[in-house]
Amino acid sequence: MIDKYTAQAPTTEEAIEKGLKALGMKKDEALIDIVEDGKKGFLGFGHRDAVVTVRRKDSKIELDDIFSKDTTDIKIEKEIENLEEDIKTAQKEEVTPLKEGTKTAEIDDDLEIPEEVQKDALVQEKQDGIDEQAIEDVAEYIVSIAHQMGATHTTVKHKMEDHTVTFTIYSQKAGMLIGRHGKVLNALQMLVQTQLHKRADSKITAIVDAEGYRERREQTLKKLAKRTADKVRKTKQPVILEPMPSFERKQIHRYLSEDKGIETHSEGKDPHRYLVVELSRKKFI
Amino acid sequence: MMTDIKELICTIVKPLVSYPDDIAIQVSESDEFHEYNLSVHSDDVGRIIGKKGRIAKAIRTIVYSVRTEDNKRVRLTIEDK
Repeated sequence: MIDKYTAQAPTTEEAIEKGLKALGMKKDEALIDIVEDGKKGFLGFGHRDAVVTVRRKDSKIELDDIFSKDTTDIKIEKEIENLEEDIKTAQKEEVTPLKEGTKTAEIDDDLEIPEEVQKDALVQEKQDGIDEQAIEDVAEYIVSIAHQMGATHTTVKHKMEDHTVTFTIYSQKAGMLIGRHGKVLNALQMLVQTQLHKRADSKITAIVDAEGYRERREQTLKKLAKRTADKVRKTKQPVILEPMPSFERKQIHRYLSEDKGIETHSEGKDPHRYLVVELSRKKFI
Repeated sequence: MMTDIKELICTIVKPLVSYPDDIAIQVSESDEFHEYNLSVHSDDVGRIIGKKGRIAKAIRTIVYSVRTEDNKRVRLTIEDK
């Protein structure tokens, strides 16, 4: 039986209703946490769905309790009470009794640090837990798409490094999963990024890689950048490159930013945004 | 192995939507194309199209990259109600 459901809908009320429906419960049987209030946005910008977590009241899943913010606070309070108790007993044992006033003051001083540390640790733990699950699910998502594409022997490994998670695909049909100029790989990355944004709490960047494609592509882009810069210097004419996804344009901007005589900028709209390389205008001023 | 395009579309789309039960795909044949008409719950249409059609483009890229038995091309249409 499912005890917890996270629902997303344009308004908080709709989200709650959806969550209750999904669990088949009435409102008085459920504990509802509003994770995020919905935002209407303006002219389609800044719109955000409301997110609520609906839990069964008699649910006894420890993990779920940690996930919900309210109970986290209660937990911390309890921990603090325990600490206070500990300190009191410790003081009673070690120190000769002090006046009431000074005693409490001392306790407060001692408590300040553990409270913050604990809260941070709990919040971090909570995020890691949800995100780790989201990442696992996304890896599974890549595998099932690959299977449906006919790459039956496919596994996906993932590695997390400061807010960037790299999914590496191992498959006998890696070529197909990469596609011409990495088209399919980029499409997968796009879908994965969307899923991660939706599921994970913290902002995580997703990279999908297979057979060292990203590294190879980086070398290719480096060469392309150098060749283009040379051509621009020779012809003194701007050169327009093929449309590329933003992270590839970024790499070229970065390589050529070290080249003082050359300037780069992008034109057009995604997904047909392209890079223009030209002579630096500063020379003529 | 022959891949089932319909299943592939389903696999891709399912995690993207809020109402997976409302996913429906209709298949038809024309001279040059295998036509797939995808319809989802009206709340989900935006989710599978994405900003500036980014997600729709990604879905199409993957679906079109699969070869069909008779080398006919695949066309995916997202129905907008």
